[in-house]
Amino acid sequence: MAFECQKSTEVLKKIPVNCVVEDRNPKAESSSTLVFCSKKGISGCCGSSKQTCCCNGVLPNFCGRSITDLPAALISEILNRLDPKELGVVSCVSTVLNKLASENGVWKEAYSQRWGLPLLPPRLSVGIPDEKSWKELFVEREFRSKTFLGRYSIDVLYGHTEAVRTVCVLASAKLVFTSGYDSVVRVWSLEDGLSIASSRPLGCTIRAVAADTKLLLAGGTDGFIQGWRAVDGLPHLFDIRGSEPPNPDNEFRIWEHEGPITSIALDIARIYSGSWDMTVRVWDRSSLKCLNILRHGDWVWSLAPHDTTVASTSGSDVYVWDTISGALLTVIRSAHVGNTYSLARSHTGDFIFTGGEDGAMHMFELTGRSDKTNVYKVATWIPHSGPVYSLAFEFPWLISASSDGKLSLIDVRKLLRTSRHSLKNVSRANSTEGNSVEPPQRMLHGFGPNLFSVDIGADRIVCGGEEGVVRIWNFSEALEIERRVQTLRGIRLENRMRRRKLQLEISSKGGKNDQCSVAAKKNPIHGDRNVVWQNKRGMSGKLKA
Amino acid sequence: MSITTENNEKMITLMSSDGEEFVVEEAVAAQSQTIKHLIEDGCSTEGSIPLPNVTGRVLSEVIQYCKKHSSSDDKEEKELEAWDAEFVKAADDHVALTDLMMAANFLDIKGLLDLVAQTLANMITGKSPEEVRRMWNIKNDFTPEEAEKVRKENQWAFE
Repeated sequence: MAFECQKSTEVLKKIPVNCVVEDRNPKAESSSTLVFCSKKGISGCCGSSKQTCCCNGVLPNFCGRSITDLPAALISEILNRLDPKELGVVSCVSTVLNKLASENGVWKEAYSQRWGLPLLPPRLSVGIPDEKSWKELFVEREFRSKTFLGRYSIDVLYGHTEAVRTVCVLASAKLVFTSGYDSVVRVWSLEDGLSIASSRPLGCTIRAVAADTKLLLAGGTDGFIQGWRAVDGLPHLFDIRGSEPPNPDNEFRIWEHEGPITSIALDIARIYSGSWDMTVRVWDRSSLKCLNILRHGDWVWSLAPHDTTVASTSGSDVYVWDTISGALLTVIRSAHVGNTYSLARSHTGDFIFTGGEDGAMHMFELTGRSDKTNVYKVATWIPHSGPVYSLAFEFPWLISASSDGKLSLIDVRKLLRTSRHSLKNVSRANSTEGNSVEPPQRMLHGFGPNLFSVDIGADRIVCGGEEGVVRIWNFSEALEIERRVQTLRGIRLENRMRRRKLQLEISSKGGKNDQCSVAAKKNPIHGDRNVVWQNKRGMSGKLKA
Repeated sequence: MSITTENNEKMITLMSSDGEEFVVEEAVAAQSQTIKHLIEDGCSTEGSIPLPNVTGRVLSEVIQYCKKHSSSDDKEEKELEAWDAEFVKAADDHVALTDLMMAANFLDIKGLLDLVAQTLANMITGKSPEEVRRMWNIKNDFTPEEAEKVRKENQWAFE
């Protein structure tokens, strides 16, 4: 009877009590019916907004709707405005949302905003892009970004005879380029830290090196840019040893700067160089012609191009230029006390990081388009007691190298609220303050003073300084080690539990015989411990290797 | 039935699904691309434009939005933003917002669609899945195994 009544949903919808009244007859059942029906009625009531699925056809406009009744396209419209993290949360809500959230294009966008497109997009180049894999890629990368909090091993690279002024990591080719006061450019393997090649002495201090898979550039104190073009088929890309006389196909030198070159950068179409002659020059990559000269009011220390703009530091100021027109978009006056030595930029280009002689670091956000660029200070760090000579950024890590001999590692994730779609003044509500000093997440120290240059790539941090050696901190095993440590901890806990259980058993039994067995059993336990300990040793051995 | 007012503004009559009629200036109604196209196709000349997918309650809100956005120009951007915020606050529960979103989609009013979608997205921010479910009355239709798996996959988002 009760079930009959259920079927007639119309009755149910109107007045749930009805069915109770109708079903009075068999007394024994009535109570259970009552409970059942009224339950149904209640869920019908509170689910009224949800019920639209069923009444959609009948009364499309009088019932309210729930989010999940929206067409998929509209739900996606909402999800498009979420952070990856929030999308992750949403995908746990229900199957529909899970499907939509996992397929969403936000993953690809977020990935490329943070790290650029991967060099070899798996499965993406062929056929229809598999959106799901973007989520996987993103999650994997997000997971790995914790790696710099884990354990590391250090490689020390000997070879330079004087202080190292500049290091450059080319992660895609697993190469490191370094140079300094000894005027020799050296190429190293990022993975095993072995020396691969070195150039002839270039005749003056080299303060800047930049490279991609096609071009290697070094900027000299005499004002020239020395360049090597990649040679096809060469595993290490560049033939920097060169031949006598130099082969003009592989090697070139451009002289135009009137002072020492301090910084060099590359993009697809252009070369950028900054110098103590107070200019930044923009060059065409193929013709090597100077396209633009950007004049500053003081020595140029560092530069960071992005798309159509280039940021540079000069004296204590930070400039942002339009690359093509050469127009000055904005200036941050006196970003630091003393010189602003170093500069780094996020992959989207709208966050810049500066490091100065005063030991402080700032994070600025650039907003607005070419006609009107605004700058907001987002955060400040003062982890160093000496000048910050170099900065490197790879989402979410900002790494700084200082004259105090320390590296600081800063996770900027919580500061980078993605403001893509949110109403502008909302997203910046807490960032306009910008006066609070944030702590760094981690410091690496214990080396000689004056670390001049730092770079980051492929879970490694590379740094060079006054000592003349280059160090590679390798975090690529950090997560695996962490996992192993955790399983070991689990084993230890398990052993402890087993022992405790054993003891309980023994004490409940009592008697002499058992005491013997305790002694007998103690040994295997100790044995267990030994195994664990050895494991640990084995691991740390590996770590060092 | 196009009426001309004193300032030479052509008036349009919109009819909601439940038979309510709204008389608005053409400029206001034309904020909706759908209506604009209907007008261009000459639908407005005979009688009112029927909108079978929009109820009177929702339509009145939509018209409120269109009026505001057709009368103010770019200079008052700040003020308009504040007004928008108030507007979605007034429609505060998610059911009303969902209706509004459907209407904005049907009528093809991009500004309103953006506004509502952003508001709904903001509602999600900082909530746990359980809270989202409760807030929006969504049923958890994962099997326990699925829930476990999904939770594991997205563990990183909860840290």
